Amino acid sequence: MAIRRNPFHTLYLTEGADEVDLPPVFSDVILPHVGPLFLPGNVILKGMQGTGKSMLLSLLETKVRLEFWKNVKHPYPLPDQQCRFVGAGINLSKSLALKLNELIFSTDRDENIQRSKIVFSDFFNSWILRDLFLSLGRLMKDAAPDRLRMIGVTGNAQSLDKAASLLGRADSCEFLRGQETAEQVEKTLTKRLRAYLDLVNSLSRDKRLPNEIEGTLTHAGEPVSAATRVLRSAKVIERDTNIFVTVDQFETLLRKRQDDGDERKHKRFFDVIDDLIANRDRTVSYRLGSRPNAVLEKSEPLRDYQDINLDAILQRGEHSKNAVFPRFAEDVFIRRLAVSDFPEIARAKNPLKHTFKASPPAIERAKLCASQKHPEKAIRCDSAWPKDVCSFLTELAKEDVLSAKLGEVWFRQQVAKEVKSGKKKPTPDDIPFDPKEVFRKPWESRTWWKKERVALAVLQIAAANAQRVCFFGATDIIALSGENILAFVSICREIWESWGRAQAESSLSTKEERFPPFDELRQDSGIREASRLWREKIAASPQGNTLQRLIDTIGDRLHKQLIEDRRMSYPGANGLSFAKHDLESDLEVKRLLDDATAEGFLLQRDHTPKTLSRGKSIKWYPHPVLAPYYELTVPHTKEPLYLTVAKFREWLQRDNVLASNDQRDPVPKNRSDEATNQKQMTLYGETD
Amino acid sequence: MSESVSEMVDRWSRVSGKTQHLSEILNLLRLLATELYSQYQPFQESPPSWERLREWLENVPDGDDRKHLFEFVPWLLFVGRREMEVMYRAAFAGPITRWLIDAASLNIAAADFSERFQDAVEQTFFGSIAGMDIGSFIRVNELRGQSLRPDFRVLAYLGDARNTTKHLKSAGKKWIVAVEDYVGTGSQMKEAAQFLSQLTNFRILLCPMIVAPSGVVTGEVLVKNIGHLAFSPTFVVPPSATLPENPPGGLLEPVEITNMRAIAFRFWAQVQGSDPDSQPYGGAFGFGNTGSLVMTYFNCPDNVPPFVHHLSDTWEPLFRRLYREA
Repeated sequence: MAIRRNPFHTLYLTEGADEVDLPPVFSDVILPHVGPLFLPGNVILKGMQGTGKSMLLSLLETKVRLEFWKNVKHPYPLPDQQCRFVGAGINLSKSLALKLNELIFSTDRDENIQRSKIVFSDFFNSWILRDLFLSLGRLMKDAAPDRLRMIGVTGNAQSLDKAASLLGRADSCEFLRGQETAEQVEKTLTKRLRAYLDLVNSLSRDKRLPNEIEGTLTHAGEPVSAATRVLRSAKVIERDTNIFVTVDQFETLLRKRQDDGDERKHKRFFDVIDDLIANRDRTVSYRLGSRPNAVLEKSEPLRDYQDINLDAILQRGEHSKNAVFPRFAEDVFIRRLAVSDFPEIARAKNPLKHTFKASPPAIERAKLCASQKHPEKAIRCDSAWPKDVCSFLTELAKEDVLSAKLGEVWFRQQVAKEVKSGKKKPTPDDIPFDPKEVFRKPWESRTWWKKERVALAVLQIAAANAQRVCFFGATDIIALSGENILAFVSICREIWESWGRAQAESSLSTKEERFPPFDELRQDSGIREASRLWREKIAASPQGNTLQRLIDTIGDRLHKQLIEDRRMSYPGANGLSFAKHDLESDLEVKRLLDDATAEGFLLQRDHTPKTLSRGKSIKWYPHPVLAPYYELTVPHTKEPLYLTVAKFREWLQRDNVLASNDQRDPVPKNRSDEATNQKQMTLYGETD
Repeated sequence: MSESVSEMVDRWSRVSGKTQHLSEILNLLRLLATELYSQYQPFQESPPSWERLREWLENVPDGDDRKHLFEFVPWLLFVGRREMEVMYRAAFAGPITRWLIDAASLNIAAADFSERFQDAVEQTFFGSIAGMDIGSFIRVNELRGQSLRPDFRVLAYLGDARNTTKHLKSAGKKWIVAVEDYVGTGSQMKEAAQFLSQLTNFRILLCPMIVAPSGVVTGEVLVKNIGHLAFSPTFVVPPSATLPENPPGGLLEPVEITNMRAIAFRFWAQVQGSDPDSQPYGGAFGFGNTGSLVMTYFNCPDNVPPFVHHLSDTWEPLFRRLYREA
């Protein structure tokens, strides 16, 4: 039997866009929500890891556009009127831009910072200018004339050469002086970048810029603006054709490397881009792709740039039929399968359901998690409770364990209301209660009360049977993906993988498993594996070990809270809520939470608390894909766990996520110092 | 049909609580099965390692015992072919070179050190202590000029010390290095040393690649008794790579080891089986009650607890041992 490859084996498609045929797998579901990305003006495209930023930005790349134009079956997904642009760009984590901070230009700290900013700017300019010329050259060579007219590129090779020679005369491009053709300009720029590469890679201790660069350093953005102007005047592009400069992985400029104690090294390059956006030169439009924790400080939203928050878009209509994410996920699913070894699934009527079936209703899920022989073990009656009530619930559990569990909880709440406060263990006399009330199963008619507690009830039923809650079916998979396409693809991959392994071993033991649909246990084990890997992945992110301990602390504590909440007073306690003003008082904790959110390990939502006095609050949930690992409930129902930052810090210190108070450094005085004072546990528990 | 290992682990990790590490172990064992365990030489015709693992786990009833057995597998230190070759190189570059420099009184600062050292190597006679494939050792270390590849334990029974001395002298040899890939309690090394003790005209080095702590004791006793003998092993099995019969007093030990000790005691009768003719050497913790957890791709030593390697009518081994004696 031929081996069919896992269609989800490659998690990221656009990051390795060179090897992937993009048009068939590109999903256009989000496009209607990100209109400004294709209009003039600066845009910051924000979203946590795995929301599809790079995929969207790739639409601006010339190489990708040409691929689409060649593809008859999958046309370029933007309407013609949104196509009047030429793209150029840089991926900050792939280029060597970050390495430039390793160079030291002066022993004087401030001068060194100043110099390295200029060098970074020049590198950035050279990269983008070269990319722009290459893009135009490629367009003129490979695109059909009608396409060129549509996007507003009307010139030819001669006019491009003319633009090149004009650029050589521009004040801001001194290093191109005397260049007469586009080819010469490209060569000069390549040589310049090469010189930077050599400088960074050189082992010699005396790292100095070559003289020809030293004397001709450029300010960020100026050469590209100048180029845009000459391209227009030389009639290479039309007056209304935009130049879109993409800066992807912008947040890497904020990251602190482990061997780099000076965060300003990165911050200074961040500043360069911030200045660029703030300087209001409208000739060129910049697109920054970034995670949500990178916040520009000098430029102003709306006036200097427009924010597109992918997380918010994907969360839109979270609970409605028009929700964006489920459609996005299904589209990605179909497209991936269509080009895979399983094309027949993509042609099915509802491929996602066809492959994974429907998720079980809560009542079925509860039955699956409960003990098969003695489901009534999930019900716990207190000794003081009337016998009738206990035997009713026990009998009910054999038929419908979920209803019985909810009944237990409902009764527990009634008892708590009746028994006077302060009395810890009620006696039977304290419960003046008519058991007939219970026989009517009043909890079944309290729709909201029940809805909020169903997931928790299932979790507690499973725990009573020492089992994990099982997850399978399309709805579960979408819910566990938590609006993150990377999580969705990971889950699909692990389910396929789990099936594949079972096939490899099937000749020895089990019978061959046919799909679709996938077997429930197969899905469950794939989902658990994806969950475990997502948790493992935390350690690989920047500051990964700290973040992993943070998420472990949150996950374990919330699990304990959920399991021990026998009255189910806080069914929404799979998340934490902090008052905004409280959070601002501890920037270290706040930064940890923000970083974990940016990496997609926590989800952040605004929260309007019950009590007005608490003020605006923010709530955090562990990403739903982590729910199977930490054994948490998935739905985000009302009222997360209210916490003060001080209490939370206590948790973190006890679990060694943060250094305890006596190990902390004195309060930092200014921002940059405070940034360097990131709490790193010292080896010997002492401060220096 | 019975459950596959993956299915078993999947079922276990569905249990609430800290069970996720079982999937990690499963992934690790999958890797080791292809990269390492598949190199195991004895009984190649027996089912592949993955299937052997299943049969081995099924020796004990499903439940905690079986889980503990599974958690124990990564604690076995399996030395594969590549690791052994590295060990050969390390032995030559380390203990052998150091000893030879001393024995030949070479000056390492001298300009002609390389040539002198090369001369010394050529004047050294290499042999195995007890049945190691000396050819591989010679090839890996590119040692030339020695066509006879003796086994000193064999010579202790069949050889003649006077003849050997005569041959070595005529071949211009001055030193003898006896190597062995694995030395357990050192009883075979003792036999070889008996023969070597008669070759009084030569200085001799015993250099096992891997040696259990009790073998080190044997080696040290031999050095004390035989004046021209030196003992310098390459890798001494650390106490942490053992499953001792008694828990180390006052020290914490990994829970997998504690669990496994209980199993070794409890299933000892089942491991032994009912056939009096096929009984393992030693007790539940192997020959000399060593409880060693180190094994090599060419065999599982008998000082490893028999539940790993012994086949009986009531026990399936994980790595079946090939006994020398029938």
